Amino acid sequence: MLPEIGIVGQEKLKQASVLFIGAGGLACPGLLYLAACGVGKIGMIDFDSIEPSNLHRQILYGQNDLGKLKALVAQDKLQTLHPNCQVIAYTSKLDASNAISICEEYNLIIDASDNLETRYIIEATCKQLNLPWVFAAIHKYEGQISVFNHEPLRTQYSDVFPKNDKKQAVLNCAEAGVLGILPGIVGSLQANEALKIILQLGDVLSGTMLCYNALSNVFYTIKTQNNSPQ
Amino acid sequence: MNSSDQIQVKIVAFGIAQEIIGSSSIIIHCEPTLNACKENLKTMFPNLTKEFIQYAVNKQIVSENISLNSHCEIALLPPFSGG
Repeated sequence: MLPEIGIVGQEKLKQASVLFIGAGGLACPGLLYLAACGVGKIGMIDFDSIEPSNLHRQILYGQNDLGKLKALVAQDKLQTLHPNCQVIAYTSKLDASNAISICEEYNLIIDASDNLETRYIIEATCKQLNLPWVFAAIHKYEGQISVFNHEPLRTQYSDVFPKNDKKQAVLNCAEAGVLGILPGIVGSLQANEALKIILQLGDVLSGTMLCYNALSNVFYTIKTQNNSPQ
Repeated sequence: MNSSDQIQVKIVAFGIAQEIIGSSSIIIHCEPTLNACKENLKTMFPNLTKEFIQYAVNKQIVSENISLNSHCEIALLPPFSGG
């Protein structure tokens, strides 16, 4: 056992409750790792069904799961692997009417969604509930990861990408295509940020956005506080 | 301002900005302000105007117009949506 984590850290993990918004490519590695690490309560909300085009990157699901609801299949598989973890599935779409009542049951939110509309709902909800959230998003061969609404900086996604009509044209994975292993890498980095927040260990990506390129192996970090560099 | 007042800056592009520019990084010449740099980029690559792009200077998000020098690295960061 790592001395920096120890029994005290395992107890923190057991007491932690983490909600994944989305149960797709980013969530699959995060769900598996956080459950395996001993997180006591894990929820996931996703209203989508499993499609053939999901299978190259959504590694919780296989051919036999086609047509089934992702949240229910993920719940079943996680619960089988880790019966001591409380696993809760929500099969509704996260929207402004249900976000507060669902998110308030957790102390950390993972944004594994695939659209900007949901991302701004997560931001508003986490601000209202005073919850930190770990953001990640992917595009073809690239990923972005950051931590928002986390003490002491409390930077927000909209500090980096304020609401703008142009952004609604941003493509999701199904439309743009994505390298199958990319959400595995980016989702694992996202889960690592969640672990560090729970364990109060190391430096989290609060005030920083990490940009990863799977083709060039470049990790590029950008300070997200909106200050002049001069 | 004549061409001798122009500076040379490195542009680093991500996501759709990289696709529009056709490279992950290029060098451009511009007058020494961020707004001038943005205008040059939009003239060179008109499709950038269709996208929301956040700009970072020397790895720091910058929204206002600031002075640049030849050591500056300008990053073009579009939002990603996939999950």
